[in-house]
Amino acid sequence: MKILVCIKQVPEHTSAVAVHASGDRVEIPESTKYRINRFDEFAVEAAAQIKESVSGTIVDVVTVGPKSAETVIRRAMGMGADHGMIVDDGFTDNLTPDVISEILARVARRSDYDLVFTGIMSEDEMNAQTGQMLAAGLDIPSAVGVVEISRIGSDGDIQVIRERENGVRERLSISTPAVLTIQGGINRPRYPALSAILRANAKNIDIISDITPAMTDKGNDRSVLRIAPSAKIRRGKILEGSVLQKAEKLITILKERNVLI
Amino acid sequence: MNSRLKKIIVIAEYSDDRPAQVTLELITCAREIRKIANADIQAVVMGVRPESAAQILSLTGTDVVSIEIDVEKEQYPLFQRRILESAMEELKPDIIIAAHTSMGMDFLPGLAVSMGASCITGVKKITVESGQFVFVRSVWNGKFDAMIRSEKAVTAVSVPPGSFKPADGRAAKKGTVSLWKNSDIAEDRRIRIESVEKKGASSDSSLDDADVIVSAGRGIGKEENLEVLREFAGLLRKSAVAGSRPLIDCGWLPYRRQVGVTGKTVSPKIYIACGVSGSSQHIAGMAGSETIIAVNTDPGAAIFNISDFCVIEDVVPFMEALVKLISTSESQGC
Ligand SMILES: Cc1cc2nc3c(=O)[nH]c(=O)nc-3n(C[C@H](O)[C@H](O)[C@H](O)COP(=O)(O)OP(=O)(O)OC[C@H]3O[C@@H](n4cnc5c(N)ncnc54)[C@H](O)[C@@H]3O)c2cc1C
Ligand SMILES: Nc1ncnc2c1ncn2[C@@H]1O[C@H](COP(=O)(O)O)[C@@H](O)[C@H]1O
Repeated sequence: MKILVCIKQVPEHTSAVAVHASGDRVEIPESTKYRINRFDEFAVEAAAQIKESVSGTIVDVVTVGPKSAETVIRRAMGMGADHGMIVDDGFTDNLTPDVISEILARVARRSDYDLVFTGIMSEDEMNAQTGQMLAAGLDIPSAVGVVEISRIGSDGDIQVIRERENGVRERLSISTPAVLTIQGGINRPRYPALSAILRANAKNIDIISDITPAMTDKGNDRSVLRIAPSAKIRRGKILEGSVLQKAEKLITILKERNVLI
Repeated sequence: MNSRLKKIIVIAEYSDDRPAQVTLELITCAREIRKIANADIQAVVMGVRPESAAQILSLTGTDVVSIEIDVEKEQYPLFQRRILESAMEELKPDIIIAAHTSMGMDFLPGLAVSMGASCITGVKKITVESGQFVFVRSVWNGKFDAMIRSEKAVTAVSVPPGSFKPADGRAAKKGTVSLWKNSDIAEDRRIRIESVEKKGASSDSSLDDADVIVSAGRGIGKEENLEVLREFAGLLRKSAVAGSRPLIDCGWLPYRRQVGVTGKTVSPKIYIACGVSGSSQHIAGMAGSETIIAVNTDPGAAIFNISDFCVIEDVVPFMEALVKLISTSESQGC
């Protein structure tokens, strides 16, 4: 079985991320550390677990991003992925899901993947659509919000559970090749062991430069006019002072509402 | 895409023969667009027995296309998408509006690809600037809003539940209902729904009954830190500890304590969010709380936008100080 996991890097912390002076994008400080988008970490773990249970499984990871995304690719390799690939995005800002999914489709077509995993959503862009567009581009089925991979059949069918609203879950049979977009909670992503990290560090990462955003015939299907801090809906009174003073003010609020025992 | 358009299509969801609440909200969204651009609105209700839901939906004054599919096809989501695709070819919408729900997330991006349409998800507001539509969506876990313009002739948008007021079902003039049947679509059985099960979140009422909910997010750092929140909750009348989804995913709290779009919707007297960023999926579950208090180190965290009171502090030391202060003032008898 061959699995491709699509991962994206996101800033470790977002408190220093601000609106850029241009007003049409965010500014991420130079010193920012990156981690794997949380939902993609679940996807890498899901692939690593299949590799452990189905012999002969090979797991590739890919990201469309800067070369410095090597760090998150190595982390995924430390978790169990065999090969890492970076499609150098040439520092193009604001790639939209239609372009990213087209690039990922081109990567996927280079090998015979049985399964392609994405996260259900990126924490920065929050589109929740790249995996589905990738599936449509490859003309293969996709299951959205997978919380369990219950069976991997030798007949090329897999069984998964997908989450709907209100605690409702759907059990699906899907014929491979297929895309699964992975929801949080499907597993507990492992911390790579030191030996696994050392092994991963010794491996090569393929930098793919013959698939570029400019090559996709699609072009961004939308553009960002502006980015702004999100609007205030409530008054948001800031409690000022020392820790103790803030705690006292909060106690007054609780007392006014008569909830202290 | 400019604001001179002709047709807006709303894709309905229904259950128990009634249109979903979010579908009525989508009708309002479509009407707000119509205020700006005089277009026709049509809703599409598709399913095994769509007609009752279609009739009820038409009471809002909306024209409805009711597409009946055989029971046999209901199990095949891709099959249904093909039917929807062929319906769109006939209806020729300029804007398609679906709900940003598990259903909308499932079919809309693929539908947009097959139609060559732009797909903009999680749209909570639509405005017009210089004759062009601007779609507003949350990004960065709710920290920022992005104002987006479509670059295609057709635009598919998904709208999160709760973004618009539901349309009134007592319009002066009922809309028309056209009954369609779809039989001549190429079969696609590559995905099959085997069964549907319920994980049961609603059986536990401890969150429903609570006057105060102390809610933990990833900002608490580690599982042991839940203890100080429990201690604090213990000092409050009718209180309960809840959490954001990542904490439930880690197994730190049981699923029935998850607040949000895939967990519980709560509206206590006081909701205290501790180290929660305030993503739209979390806010969907607690925005109706009477008083919202948030503790977060990031002054720009989205949770502060819906808070009545904001505490910019490292959550664990702050909660420790709070617990200590309450306990000592108690022992002094004041
Ligand atoms: C389909 C779907 C359904 C979902 N359903 C839900 C749902 O039902 N409920 C839900 O909650 N989420 C849900 N999510 C996940 C959601 O998108 C967010 O990922 C999640 O809500 C983030 O949780 P968080 O705020 O705890 O963590 P984060 O977003 O990581 O935020 C942590 C916050 O803690 C702050 N912080 C860090 N350190 C400290 C400190 N020392 N002291 C104080 N503050 C600190 C940070 O500034 C940050 O604001 C869903 C996602 C999808 C795609
Ligand atoms: N630049 C990227 N490189 C690789 N995978 C990506 C990229 N952007 C998004 N994805 C994948 O698509 C998923 C959904 O992203 P989105 O549609 O932006 O919410 C993510 O969880 C990733 O798995």
